[in-house]
Amino acid sequence: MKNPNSLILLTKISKNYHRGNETVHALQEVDLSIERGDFIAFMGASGSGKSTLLNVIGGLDQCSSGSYLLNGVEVSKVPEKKWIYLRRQWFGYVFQSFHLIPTLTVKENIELPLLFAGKQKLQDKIHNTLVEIGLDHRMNHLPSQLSGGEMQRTAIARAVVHNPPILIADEPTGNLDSENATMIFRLFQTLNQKHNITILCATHDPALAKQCSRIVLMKDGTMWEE
Amino acid sequence: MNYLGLAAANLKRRKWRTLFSVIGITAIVMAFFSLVTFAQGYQNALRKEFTSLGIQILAVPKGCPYEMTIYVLHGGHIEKSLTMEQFYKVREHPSVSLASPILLQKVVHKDTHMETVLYGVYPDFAKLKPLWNMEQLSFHHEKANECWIGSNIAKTLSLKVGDPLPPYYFEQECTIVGVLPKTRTADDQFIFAPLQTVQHILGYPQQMKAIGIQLKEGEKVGAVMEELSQIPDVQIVSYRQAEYTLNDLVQSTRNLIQIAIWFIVLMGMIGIVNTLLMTIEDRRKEMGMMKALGATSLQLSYVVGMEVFFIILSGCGLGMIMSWIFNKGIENLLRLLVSNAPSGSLSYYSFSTIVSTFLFCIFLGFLASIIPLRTVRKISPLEAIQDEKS
Repeated sequence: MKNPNSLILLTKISKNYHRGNETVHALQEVDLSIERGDFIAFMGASGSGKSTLLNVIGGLDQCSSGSYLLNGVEVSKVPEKKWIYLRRQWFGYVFQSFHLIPTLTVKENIELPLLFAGKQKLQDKIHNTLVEIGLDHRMNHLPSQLSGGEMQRTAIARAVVHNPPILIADEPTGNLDSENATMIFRLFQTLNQKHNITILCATHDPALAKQCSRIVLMKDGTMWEE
Repeated sequence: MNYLGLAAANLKRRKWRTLFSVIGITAIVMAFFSLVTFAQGYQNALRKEFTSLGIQILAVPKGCPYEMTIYVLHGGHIEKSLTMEQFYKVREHPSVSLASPILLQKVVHKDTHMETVLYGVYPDFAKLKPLWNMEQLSFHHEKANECWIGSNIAKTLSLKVGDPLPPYYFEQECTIVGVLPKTRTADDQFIFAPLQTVQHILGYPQQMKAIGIQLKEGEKVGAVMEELSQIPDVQIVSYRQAEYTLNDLVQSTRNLIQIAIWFIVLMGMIGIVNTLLMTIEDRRKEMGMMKALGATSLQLSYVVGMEVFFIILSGCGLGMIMSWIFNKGIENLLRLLVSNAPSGSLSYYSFSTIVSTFLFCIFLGFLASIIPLRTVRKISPLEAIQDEKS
């Protein structure tokens, strides 16, 4: 049932791209409604379209057709230049490969979104996030001095330091062992429950997906089951 | 942390690449700065040399007056000669205040093979030389076996007044009656002896190769030159004319050097652009991620721009310092390229040369940034996750 007041409302979203002479239908008329505070796991085989869907939702990629309402505002045709400001305001991103800057310390990596938003003076905010994520004792370490779990926690801290309402995590546990993966999901749950952050997470792990409030199954670019 | 910290972290990440980029710019700036200082320095050195010659007009035998002027300045073999009759005619002209005969020839030290020039002059030749500042210079008589020597010869051969000039250069011993003060001109290398003595040594009785002329105050140089040109087989050249002509003569060499330097600049620029593009390609994912975190193209360009300007300005400063340190070597190289270059420093450092080099570097920085910054602008946040799953 579609709710026009949803935080995110996707209607018949399609995404096509060309590979040589072939047209690939990465997403086919996807309809999805996401509410504030949702913690959704997107599951499906590789190539099912879950990452493409997250990219479209997070404004990293544009859909080919369909409607995308973000907090009631149509954003499907918003150009990249304006998306920068939407991303700053609405989204935090966590990637499978962490993408931390190797020459910057944990604290400096976390500070990046605030620097780009011109809010680098919020040092208390950085410190609080570090404490919450449990990395305050590692704040002056370089990423090369951290474990995989610590690196992903740093990436999560970087994704939430500017208080985004939505956190997009594309296979955040893909490079982690099960112990660290569980820890990361526990952190997501805390962020979801304590700060009401809407979390959209692509994962292959059914055990982790079960901890989410909703599971969306993707197959061949369509929503197969919810 | 700020943008400068981000740029510094990027530069530190690839220390060798940064270092080689700075070295590349240093080489470009060295070449450019040397050219700029040379252009001004050559003119100044030439003017100083003509001033040290101390004459307004030079009378030489018919031929190429400018070539002969160079020979008078630096020594050389002049085929034709002027006679004493021609000299007297010049000296008797009512506008001439001082006319001094000059006979000269290159002579070689038998042991060291060091070249110098032996000048035959009248004692009043010293009055023509403003840099000598020695009114006491004289010879005991017109045929005296005496000489004045330049400061470099005195220093090299450890000679002083009263010593005999050993018969290394020519088959006659001369007593040194004067050591000239250091002038930083070609005079520092020369030997000056009475005209008749030199005429005897070189086998040119009653002859000379040039006449240095000073006019009485208020005389019009052009008019006097016109009148002196009427003396048969005598060519008159003013030192200003000679200076301009010599400047023009080196212009083609200077143009050639300029082309070579612009080529170096172009090659260097391509190198810098290539290095910057490599740096950006290396960080493509990272920049995509930064865009996903809310960085605008302008903010990332700002960071890359700071890196470019750090490299350019470090290279600029180092290039100028290196050019100054290796000034002597560069000058020797220029002397090989420019024949008959004036003695003394060929480089002229001034505030304006430093500023123009600095501005040139900033221009270079802007030019080198165009393509890399376009690349930064085109990077999409999607690139942060592309290939991640492949």
